[in-house]
Amino acid sequence: MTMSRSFGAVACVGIVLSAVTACHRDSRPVATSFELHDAWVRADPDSGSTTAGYIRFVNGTQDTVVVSNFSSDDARVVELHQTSIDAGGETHMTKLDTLVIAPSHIVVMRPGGYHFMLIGTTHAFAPGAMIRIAMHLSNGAIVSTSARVKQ
Amino acid sequence: MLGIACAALVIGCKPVAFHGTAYEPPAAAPVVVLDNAAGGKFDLADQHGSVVLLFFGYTHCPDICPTTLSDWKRVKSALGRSASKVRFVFVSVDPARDDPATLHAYVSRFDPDFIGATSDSSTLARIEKSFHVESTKEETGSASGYVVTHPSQTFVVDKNGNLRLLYSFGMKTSDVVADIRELQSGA
Repeated sequence: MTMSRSFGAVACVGIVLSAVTACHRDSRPVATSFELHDAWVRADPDSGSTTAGYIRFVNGTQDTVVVSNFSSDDARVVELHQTSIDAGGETHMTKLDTLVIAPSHIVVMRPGGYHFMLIGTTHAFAPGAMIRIAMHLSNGAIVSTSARVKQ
Repeated sequence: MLGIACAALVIGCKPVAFHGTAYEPPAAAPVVVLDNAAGGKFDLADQHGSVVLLFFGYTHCPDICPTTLSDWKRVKSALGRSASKVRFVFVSVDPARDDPATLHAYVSRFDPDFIGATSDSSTLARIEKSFHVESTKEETGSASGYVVTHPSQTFVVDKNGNLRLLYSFGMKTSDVVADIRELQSGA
């Protein structure tokens, strides 16, 4: 499930989003950059398998950010996927080419929605370990973050 | 005395407000006989006396299935000793990749008491049809191979073998625990 909200709305409902969305007196967020938060990956005791991970994207810029590719030294392939659940409760999974984060918007990856898949893991992912994830943006930039392994 | 009896009757008849979606009226759960890792059979009819949580998934599922099993782990922990009268059953609808041993290893990652069971495709299709759900293989172009479209819900069978509740994906642990306790108390 994806959540996308304008910064103004976030400020109004008082959701605390670390320093990124701390408010000025005029209720505007201070974030002016593209930031990655709360990255985590599901634990997997087996090497060579597939597991999923999640990140919260905060786009504080005035430009649309397009994540066009994921990679990690800890997996052979990293893909972007989206789970959806239809009216009958059936789950469907779609492989996506890009993730688009509009200006001044937040996109939250979470179980049952957007996630990245680490396919062909190079080692066991033990709870507490950190996995480095890189994201390649359509403007050529590469951003990365460390994702904590959780059960 | 009559007043007390009436009061007890009224309390006894008070409908239970479950957090999950209730089947009304409750009806006998479908026949579910599957292969387990020990080379034996899991028979839902043998679980009388226990509340059964049943989910259709597959081990290559990276998102919904491990999330559900993690949720179950929290439920089992919150139930404490009364969890001994709850069966957590993960039914693989991907028998081509999930043999009973693979399935057992997978569910044991989450809790060694969780039950993994499966069968041949035709048996699984019959069982799913009896629950009014279905699973289908789909190619997405992923390097991980095909995916399986499958139900996201958890089915709950009471200790008398009746299908009672349906949980949507992502139910709160405290809500599931409260419902299980109601069912264990005879609701």
